[in-house]
Amino acid sequence: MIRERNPLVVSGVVGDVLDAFTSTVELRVYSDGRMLCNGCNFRPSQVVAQPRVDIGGDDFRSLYTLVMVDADAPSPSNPCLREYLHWLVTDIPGSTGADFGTEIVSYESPQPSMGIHRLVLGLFRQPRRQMVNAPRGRQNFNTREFSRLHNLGSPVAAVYYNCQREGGTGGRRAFLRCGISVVVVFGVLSLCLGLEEGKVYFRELRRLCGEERVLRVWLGIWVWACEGLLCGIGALSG
Amino acid sequence: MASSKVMASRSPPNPDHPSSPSPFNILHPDQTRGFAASMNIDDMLTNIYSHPDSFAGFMLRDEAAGEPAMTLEDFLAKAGAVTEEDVRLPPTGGFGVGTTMLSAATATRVPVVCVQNGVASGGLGVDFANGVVAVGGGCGRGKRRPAVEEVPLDKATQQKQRRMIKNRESAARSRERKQAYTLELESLVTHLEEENTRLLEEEAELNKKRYKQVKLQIRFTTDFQANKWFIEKIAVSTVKPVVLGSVAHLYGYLDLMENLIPVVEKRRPPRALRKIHSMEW
Repeated sequence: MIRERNPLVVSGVVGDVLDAFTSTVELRVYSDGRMLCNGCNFRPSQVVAQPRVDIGGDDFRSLYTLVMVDADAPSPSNPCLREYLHWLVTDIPGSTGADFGTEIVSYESPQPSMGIHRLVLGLFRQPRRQMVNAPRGRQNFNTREFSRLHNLGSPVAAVYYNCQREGGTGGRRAFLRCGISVVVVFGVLSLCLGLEEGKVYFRELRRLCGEERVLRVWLGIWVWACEGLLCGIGALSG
Repeated sequence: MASSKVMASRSPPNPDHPSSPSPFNILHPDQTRGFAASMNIDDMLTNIYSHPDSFAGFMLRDEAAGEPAMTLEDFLAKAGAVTEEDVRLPPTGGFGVGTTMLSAATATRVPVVCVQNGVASGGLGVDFANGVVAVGGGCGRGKRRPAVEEVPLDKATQQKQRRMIKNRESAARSRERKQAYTLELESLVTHLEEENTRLLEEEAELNKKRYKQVKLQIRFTTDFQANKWFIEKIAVSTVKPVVLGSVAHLYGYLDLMENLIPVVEKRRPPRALRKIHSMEW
């Protein structure tokens, strides 16, 4: 079995976003002081600012284009907006950085809401200095199509990193936690408001979270507990 | 050979299958009524080999061909096709062919077809309470077959199924991510170690050159009042503590004047252990 050893291939970046290529030019990206390596994790707070990009290459005469896309927008399990364009810089002279190029699409910091997103930076070599029209929108950008349109050929370098929401990726568990915390908070509130109102509130809440069976079970437990507490207090106070 | 295998597999006790006159009931649906209890092995074998669509025939042929992976897939394709139609048979038969075991579970309305490949890690049949049969096959290469579904009976199981698929996908993605990261780290490790050894060698060479080029002028001056002595060294190139140490070492061999305080040279700290060739461990 031939084991694939290229992280770009294994993670699906080559395939989803880029075509297979051999890396000929060095590409170094630094974000928040850290150097980017394939597959490392960055929080949105660390990639708020435009990363520092250093390009290898020999001479100032060869120009490069840098594309940064999110391969998993809006969520990796449902990438309907693949790819989401974050940054586009052209006419970068070799052995310099992205600051020396023309920024076609300004840098937008990634803010993934669901799941763990792969943010890909691809470097293409330009055949000549060319004027690139800004794409219509950032969503549903197609790097392959863009490269074909502007005769950029296959990429000469690429790097990718993972980014997820600050507090974790969310999902059903987080929803559960939120739900429970909401119930507890309002339980306390209703205790202050008055016991009858509290009971009515809980009944409404239970009715509202119908479909989600597990969530309902969990919320049900909490609601029963609160209700029981309320009844108990009601009974005690008379 | 094949016959002995079949014989051997029939002899392991199947005490939980009392009602089947022949284990072939499940496997030869079209021949169910044709089987006589008194059929002997040869007839069985001719039946097997003459039936290209039979499970057992498949399996036996596979064993002969020696490619369980390929034909396991085919088998499962067949299994998918077959279990949908004739699954209403009471799941009582158990049948082993050499290393492959075909057993039907008795728990539910729909028999679960479990294929365990003794060589590879096997495939599994997943069964849902409401009768949806999803047969997932795992071969030696780790490929998975798409689920075979019947119309689910209610929304909850449909949702459960959907969730399971999503979870499976996200687990696969997570594994991919982890694998990609470890590959990246490994390549970084080799690259950095190689660079490190190269740089150390370069440094050692440069130092050697420097020692040869250094011209030392050692001057001794004594301050009789303070009873101290000074060593001044004028070097042509830049000074390193190591060089000073060697100079002091040299001094040790020279004659000391009585009122000179000898230099106590501290031993240079030993070089820390380095990790090299991490990828070969």
